[in-house]
Order: sequence, then structure tokens, then C-alpha cells
Amino acid sequence: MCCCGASHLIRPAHSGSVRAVQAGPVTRRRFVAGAGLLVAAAVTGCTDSDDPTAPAADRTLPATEATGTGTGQDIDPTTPPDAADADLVAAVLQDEDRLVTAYRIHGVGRPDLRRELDTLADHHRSHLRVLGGAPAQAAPTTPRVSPAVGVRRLRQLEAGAVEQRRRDAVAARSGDLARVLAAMAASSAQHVVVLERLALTFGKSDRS
Amino acid sequence: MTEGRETLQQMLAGEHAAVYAYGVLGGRLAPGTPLQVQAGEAYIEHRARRDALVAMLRAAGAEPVPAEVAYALPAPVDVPAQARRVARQVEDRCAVLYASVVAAETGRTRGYAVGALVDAATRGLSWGAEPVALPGVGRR
Repeated sequence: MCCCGASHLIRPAHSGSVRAVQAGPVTRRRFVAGAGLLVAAAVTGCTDSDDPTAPAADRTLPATEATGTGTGQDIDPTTPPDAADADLVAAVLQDEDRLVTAYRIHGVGRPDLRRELDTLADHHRSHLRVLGGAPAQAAPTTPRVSPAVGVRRLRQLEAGAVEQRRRDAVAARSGDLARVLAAMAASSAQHVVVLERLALTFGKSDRS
Repeated sequence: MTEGRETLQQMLAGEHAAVYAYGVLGGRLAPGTPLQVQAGEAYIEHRARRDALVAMLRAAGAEPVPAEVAYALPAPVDVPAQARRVARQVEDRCAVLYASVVAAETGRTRGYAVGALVDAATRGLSWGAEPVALPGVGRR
């Protein structure tokens, strides 16, 4: 049995063992998973000597909060990227900053949208911080389009960001940077879903 | 190459577990309800990933890891709220798995994992998860 008694999502029912997953950064050398990966929950410093298929102790996955993937707010900036990744990081920073600005523009004077859009913009601010950047502080201009059009434009921008970050993740030399870029792609994909839901609420109020 | 096969096997093992979990969910939820339909769709999507990974492993000359006979779910899934929670956990764990593969691999395998991470993150929302800044990458 697992020594630390942490809860696991899903594990082979016949086995009393849990494949060990420790907290720590993932590198190529340290990567591991196992069927127990799905069960990786928050297992810290816990190894299982009963299970011959358990990964070696030095091969780890990041422990995450049992409730989910976290906000990214507390993630340390990635290790200095490969010099070969410098141009890539610069381009991503520029793109993420444009997204933050777009959210600020389309949230101006729209209290009904503001809260939802602020949450999504905060994610992009986290992306900037993780890559060592900071959002520009330019004052946003008042949007010249309706909220419905604004949401549609944001959705378009996010859909473009999904594809671009996916390509960036594959292109990155550093594995850790690739992981962050892939997570950014996933974040923008979540934003697309949220913005589509928002667009639907506009559709409903238009009909009423 | 061996390392690449190993990560394919890890992804496959994760998909075996996800397929199992959604199979249980689909069986426990009331037939024909939107939630059961959604569980059925998620089952099909994970099964497709499982089959794709099996094919990739065979193409690489490796024997795909089999599924376990059964997996223990973390909680009962007798009522919709429990089912949603378990489904969110499944997707969350898949996201962590695929994010780790992205870091460990390059090229085609990495690209596959990026796509799977994006899918898991959006599927999680459909089960009521909140969007987060970096899906699959937890706090350190």
C-alpha cells in the first residue's frame, strides 16, 4: 500500500499498490507515468516497493492539486529556455500580450462581460509571467463594436492562439517550455469554449 | 526509439483507465439522459485514442500494454454530481499525463500529446471544470 495514504483517482482494482508519483519538475530523464498515471493525484514522496512495475524513484511527475490543474499563478518561471528558443519565447510573449490587450478593449464599459473576460485575461497574464514577461500597461480604447461582435473577435483570436501554441509546443527545443506552451494551447482552447457559451447568451437575449 | 515506445505505452495505459471509467459512468447514469450521452461520447473519444495508440505501438514493433481487468474509481458514481466529479478527475489526470509526455518527447509523439492535452482540457469543461491558466501543469 502507498505509504502516504493519498487518494488516487483510478487504479487497477486488483492491486493494492499504487505507482509512485512524486512532486517535482518533469524532465526527459525524469519522466514517467504508468497506468497509475491517471491516478497520479497528489502523491508526494511516496514510493511503492510492492509493485514491480512501479517507476524508479527518480522518475517523477508533477503532483497537482487533487481538485485540478491549478491556476498557474504559483508556477515558477520555466528554467531559462534553450537559447534556440529565445525567438520563439519572444514571439509568444508578443502574442499573449496582444490577447491581454484585446480582452481589456472588449471589456471596457461592459460590466456584464467584464468579470468573465477578466478571468480569461488573467490566464494570459499568467502565461506572460510564466515566460518571464509582463503585460503592457497601455490604456485600452473603448471598443467600437457591439459586445456580441467583441466576443466573436476574441473567440477568433483564441482559436488562432490554440493553433499557434500547438505549433510552438512542437517546435520548442526545451521540453519544459514545450509543456508550458502546450498548456497555453489547452488554456486558449478552454477560452474558445467559454466565449462560445457567452456568445450563446447574446443570441438568447437578442431573441427575447 | 525505446523511450518513445515507453511513453506511448504510458499514454495507452492512461487511456485504458479512462475508457474503463467512462464505461462505468455510462452504465450507472440514467439511460438516455444528456449526461449519459455525454459519457458515451467521452467513452468513444478515449477509445479512439486508445486504438490509435495501440496502432502506433504495433507500427513501432511493440506489444501494446493490455488494460487491467478493472480499476477502482476514486468515488461512487451513483448520482450525476458524483459522475461529473469523477469525469473531471479523469480528464484532469489525462491532461497531466499528456503534458508530461509533451515535455518528455519530441516530434510526432509530442504533437500527438499536445492534441490530446487540448482535448482533455476542453472535455473537462463539459463536465463542469473551471478554465485554468495552464491545464495539465499543476502548481509547484
